[in-house]
Amino acid sequence: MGNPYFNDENYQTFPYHKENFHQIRKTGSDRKICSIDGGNQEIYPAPEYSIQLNRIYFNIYKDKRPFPLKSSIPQRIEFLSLTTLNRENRNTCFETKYALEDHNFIEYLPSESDLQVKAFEPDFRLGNKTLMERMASMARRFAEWTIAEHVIERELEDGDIIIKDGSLQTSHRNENKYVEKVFEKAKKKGVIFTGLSKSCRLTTNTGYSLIASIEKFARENDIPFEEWCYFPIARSKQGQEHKAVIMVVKLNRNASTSFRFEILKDQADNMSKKEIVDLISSIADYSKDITIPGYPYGLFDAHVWARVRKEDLNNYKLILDSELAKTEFFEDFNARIKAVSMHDKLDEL
Amino acid sequence: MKGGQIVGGGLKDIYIREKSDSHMELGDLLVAEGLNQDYTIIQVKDIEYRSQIPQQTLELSAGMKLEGYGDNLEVMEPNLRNYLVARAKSLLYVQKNDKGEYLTKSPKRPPSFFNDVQSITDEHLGFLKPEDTKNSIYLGDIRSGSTVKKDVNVHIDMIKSLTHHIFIPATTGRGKSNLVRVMLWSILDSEGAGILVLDPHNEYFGDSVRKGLRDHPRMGEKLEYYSPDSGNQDALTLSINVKKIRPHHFNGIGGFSQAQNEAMRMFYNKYGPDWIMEIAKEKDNQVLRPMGIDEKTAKVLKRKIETKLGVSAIVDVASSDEKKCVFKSNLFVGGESGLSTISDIVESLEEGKIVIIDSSKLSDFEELFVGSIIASNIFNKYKTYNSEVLKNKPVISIVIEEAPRVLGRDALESGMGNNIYGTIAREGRKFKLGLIAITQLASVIPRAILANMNTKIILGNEMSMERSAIIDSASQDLSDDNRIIASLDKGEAIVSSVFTKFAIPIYTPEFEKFVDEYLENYDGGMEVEGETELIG
Repeated sequence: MGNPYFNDENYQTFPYHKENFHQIRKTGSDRKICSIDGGNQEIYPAPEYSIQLNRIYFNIYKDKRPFPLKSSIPQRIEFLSLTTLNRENRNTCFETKYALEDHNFIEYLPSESDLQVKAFEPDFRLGNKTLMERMASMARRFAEWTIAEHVIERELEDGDIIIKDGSLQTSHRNENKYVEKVFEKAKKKGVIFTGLSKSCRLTTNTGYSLIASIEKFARENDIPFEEWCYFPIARSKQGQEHKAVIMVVKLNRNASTSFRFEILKDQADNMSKKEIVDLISSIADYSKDITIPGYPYGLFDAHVWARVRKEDLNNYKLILDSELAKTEFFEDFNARIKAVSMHDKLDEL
Repeated sequence: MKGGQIVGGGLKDIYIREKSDSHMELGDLLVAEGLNQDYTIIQVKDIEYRSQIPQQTLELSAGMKLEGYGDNLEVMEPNLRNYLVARAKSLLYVQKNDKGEYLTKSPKRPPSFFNDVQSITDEHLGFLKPEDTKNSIYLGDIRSGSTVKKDVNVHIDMIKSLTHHIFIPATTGRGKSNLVRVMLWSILDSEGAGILVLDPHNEYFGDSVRKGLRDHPRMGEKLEYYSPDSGNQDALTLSINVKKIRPHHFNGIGGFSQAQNEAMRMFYNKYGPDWIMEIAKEKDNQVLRPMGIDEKTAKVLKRKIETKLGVSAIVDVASSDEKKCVFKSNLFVGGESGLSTISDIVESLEEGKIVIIDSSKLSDFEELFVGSIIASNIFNKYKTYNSEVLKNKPVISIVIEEAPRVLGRDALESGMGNNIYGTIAREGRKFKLGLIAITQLASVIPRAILANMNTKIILGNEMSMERSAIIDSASQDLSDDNRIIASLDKGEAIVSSVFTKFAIPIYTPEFEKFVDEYLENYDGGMEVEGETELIG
């Protein structure tokens, strides 16, 4: 089974120990819990550009009910983005521009200039398609941070919790700039910043799934708790881009799996074990929904509203087609799409 | 206030997501407002569960709860994710102009998609407000689901509805007697209708214990009550002299064969008013042969006259050669008594009175036969009136319970001839004669007769076949009302009439309470208080 393993010297890991299981208890917490998630899908694929439909959604619950927003911040932001690949001399650059139906949304989105990145040799190892997907998802990914910052600023108070879908780790150039800002804001207001990952690819030093190994460890050691959180597993070292304390949580006894959960390191370091357990217990209280026991309902709701489905794309395709058909670029545009769209055509047959 | 939002469907099936605290019901009347002082009235035809949670998850969750595993499971935002969707139908499109006049149309398109819907208000029903409610029949109050709008009374035009027949189908205990009592009470307030009520349960007149029509202030001038029970102090004695009976009174009633009917006519031709007594005295072949009557037929006829009318003959001790008739029942009598009963009743009906015949102590045959005698007399009389005279005569209607006895397929197609009730059902309208037919079994009445019953007051009925017969012959498309009809509670009804713009749900108040309220407000000739709506 082994012990937690990070292929990175910037993490401090902790071997498995029974004492690290902490029982989740009922809390009478009245904290607000905000969940935020985003989704994006490619409307038109082409080798040198990608048009994406992006959605970001957040919700706030208190006392198990949706909490009405105080500010005018839109709960769901939807926008189109165009990511293009430009090659000049030996430089390859990706650039993203927005197309907004509601121009007020610009206030909540990252700057377009931060979405301009140069591609380097290691990037190309990903392959053209994956690289384009990665670059085209930047707008959505950065927007999750910027919107989180606005929500913390206008909607949340000291002691409230924000759960972002996924890890607190950054993975793009320029992303750290936004993450720093939002973390600073959270710390300043006392809003606990957390992340919960739907999937976890971490392993132990024997190559065993981290999540599965902890569940196995719990079974083999007769851990008496039905709902628990396990920490510490790992913490990022000071000054690194992943500023989190990593733990695993089983939020409901009927949960089919446990999840990787992270708390902003600077905040977790200042919390007692009890405070951390209380925080997780508050989230567990929202993880009893019959649809997906063990997964915070707010995140589930955010996922439902933020996801971009194929049907959603079709509507946009129709509008874009009719608008583009009026322009002189249509023929050229069409030819480029055809280069990669045969897959969809075959699916229709 | 009930409310919801249109989320799909079409003109026939509009799907409405119900607001969580709305408690919509089957049959609820709702309104979808338009933008130009217009609105569509829609009615809930069915309600079903919907959930954003997959069915499998719901079932698993229920299983976990039931088996004791689910104490830490719940449904977050239950009002948002689990809800009811009502299937409704557009009934009427209404537009109000600047002068406050209403224009009503059959809906040709559904209300706007995502339109809000809300409970119907009295104002929405303003288009039904009549100019005059005089000479109308009160049926009850408008009902939306099980919510009764006490301020919106429903009346039907008395003359039109009575001449075009009223049909009241219902199973036992759904309030048909109550409905008829309320209707008759309001007819007592009106002018221009005579009603013959064959009352097999003696429930309409009332007594010292139970309220009835006798409690109506105009009872003295407008109500007559006959009973064969000579001990009934409130009633006039119902006795009919057999001399007033004619062979055609037996048409389709009593199970007489064609040969027997023929024989009766021959006896009448030969003996005139004494024909029944002569049959009872039994004739020999010498008398029968010239009349063309077989001896066996005459014997059967004699036996039938004896068993059905109670008329037999014994040897007259005063004259050993002669026989004299004896009359076993108080109903069919000889001598000089009962000679004017039928004409008195017919006269009262022609004066626009309600005549109740207590038939609770009569056999099935006797009840129908008495009705047949009276109805035939009226029919023949009205038939002879020229149109000018007929115009000034009141409409006459006959209340007949267990209508299939005379209007059922068996009764009409048995080869025993068409009875007078069937004749009135088919032709009565021309002569201002109608029926108020009450039954539990609509399905045994031929479609042609049902189609002639132009106002149907449909009460609750659990029998699917009966509901189908009613729905198939209704004046409006009630194909979606099957469940609604099955679920109608006591006193609840649907009025489907050629004179109404849509099938109107009503609630008929309990007669006793209705009378108490009426008498409380009675000021010597006024109407019941409240905003009144006349349909038809």
